[in-house]
Amino acid sequence: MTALLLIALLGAPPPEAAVRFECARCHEAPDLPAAPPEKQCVGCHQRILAGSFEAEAPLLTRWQRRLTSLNHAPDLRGARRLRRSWIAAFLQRPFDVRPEQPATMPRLALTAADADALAAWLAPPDADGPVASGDAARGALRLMQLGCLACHQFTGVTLPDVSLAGPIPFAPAELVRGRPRAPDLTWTRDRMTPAAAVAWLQNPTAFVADTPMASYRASDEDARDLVAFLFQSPLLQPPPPPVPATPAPLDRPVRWPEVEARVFKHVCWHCHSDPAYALGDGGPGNTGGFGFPARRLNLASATGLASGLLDATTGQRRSVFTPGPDGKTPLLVAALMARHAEVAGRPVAGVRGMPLGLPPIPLEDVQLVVTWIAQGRPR
Amino acid sequence: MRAAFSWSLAGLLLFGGAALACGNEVYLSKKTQEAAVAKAEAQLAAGDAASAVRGLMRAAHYPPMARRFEFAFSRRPLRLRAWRVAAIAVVRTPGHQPFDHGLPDAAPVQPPRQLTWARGVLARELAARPDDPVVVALDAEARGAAGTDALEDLARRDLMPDAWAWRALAAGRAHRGDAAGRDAALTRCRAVATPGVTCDDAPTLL
Repeated sequence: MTALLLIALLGAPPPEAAVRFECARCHEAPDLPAAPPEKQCVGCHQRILAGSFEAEAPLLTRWQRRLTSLNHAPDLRGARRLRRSWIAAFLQRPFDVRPEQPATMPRLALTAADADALAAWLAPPDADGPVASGDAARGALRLMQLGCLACHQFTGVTLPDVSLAGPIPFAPAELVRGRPRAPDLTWTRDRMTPAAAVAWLQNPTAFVADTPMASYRASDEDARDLVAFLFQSPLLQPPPPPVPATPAPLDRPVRWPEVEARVFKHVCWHCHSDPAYALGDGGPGNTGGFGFPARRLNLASATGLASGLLDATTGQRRSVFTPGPDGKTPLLVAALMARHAEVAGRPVAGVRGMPLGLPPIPLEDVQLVVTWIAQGRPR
Repeated sequence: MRAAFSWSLAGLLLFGGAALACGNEVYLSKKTQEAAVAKAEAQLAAGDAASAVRGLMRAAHYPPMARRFEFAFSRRPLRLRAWRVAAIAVVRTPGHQPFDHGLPDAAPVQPPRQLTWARGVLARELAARPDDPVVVALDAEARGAAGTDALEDLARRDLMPDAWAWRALAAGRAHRGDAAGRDAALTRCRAVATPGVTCDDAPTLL
């Protein structure tokens, strides 16, 4: 009984899954030790942006200019305002909650039990609270007046006349910080109970200490009315975005240096690097991580790419140029196109979309890869 | 003697703790032993084994201080890369003798012993990473005719890592009297060749 009371007061310890899936590579989380510096994704990017990363100044400047992804990840201590069931479902099928944040939660190899354990660690049990009882019409008006839409989107909702919105009450720096962190409000009714949403609006810093909403404290009336609008307004389901077809090869020659610069050294090698260059850690896609076993795929060079990966089923080396599940598209291209399908809400069975949790490789760059392969992979 | 020891110690302190890397470029950006090995690898890939060896020896201050790779490249992954470069340089140098002053671990200098040393280095790497096509291909290239089957297996599985491997396979097929197979391998060699790799003809195997 005493132990249960302590857990209730202090929070449950991290489950084994939190360690196995390396949540700490990106997130801060209750009672979860920070990842070592060389394994941190967000921490590494933040050090680069702050200029404290150990690298030469010209490199730092170049990186700082193009760093857009994984500069921030939600502090998992804030997840206790969310529904436990929503967290579990989201972990198994993540989608883009924050439209201005390029990276999303990656699609990890979580079982339902893993997702349940993580959700139970992060959020209290679901409880049927009172329904939102405020004035939804006034809530819509206050949403405009308070400038919420300066950072948030509210997809699928018919909003009041924009002329009702006053001047944006935020400094440019606040908007730069706030927009990537702002969830699309269309998901609020799924993510939280009305009571939790009211509590959040009344005192955001009680949940997340450094939230961009730190300066905001809703009155009781505003909180209830805003939540009524967020939960009760009809949502129009936008049509699902189309899944693009694999592009056809180009007519012009494409050689390795071009695809390396545009695709592999631009994104892929962060997780598929050469362990000989990086303290023996080739990243999650090579020596393993994020719960994935070592797949030994090195995308830091043409030689590494040509060396294939360990097949998850057979444990044998397999060329990434052999056909994927459809029997014709090279596995490498299939993975790049699967990411496009995931973003469109239609994950492909048997192929994890790459890059993991990042925006899809633009189709014109996929086309370069397709062309390079079709032309015999010239170096 | 004391001065030499001090410099060795200073070298260890300077080069032993490298930057933590979230991106490989960090190592390449450092003007230290990492850069020397990376440059030697690039020279080797470009077919300039002699420059690769000279660069490694300069980085290791070897000779005249006779410091060996164990001291100069104190971090194990870097040392393995340096050894690998040295071994491949031996394999790809006509006469198999790029080291005029003894090998990185002070083995005798005669060409047959240098080739034996190189094969030993690559065989140890293969034992550690038997499923890595790069290592399999290098070991096979070093073993000459005896390595042809391993290269054929890589080619069958579309896992040939580079033009050097295709060139070695062409040599192996030529050694077996398979002229058509040799030409096919040389065609693939040319298709994926980088500057410095000669794919006009297969080297003769012993």
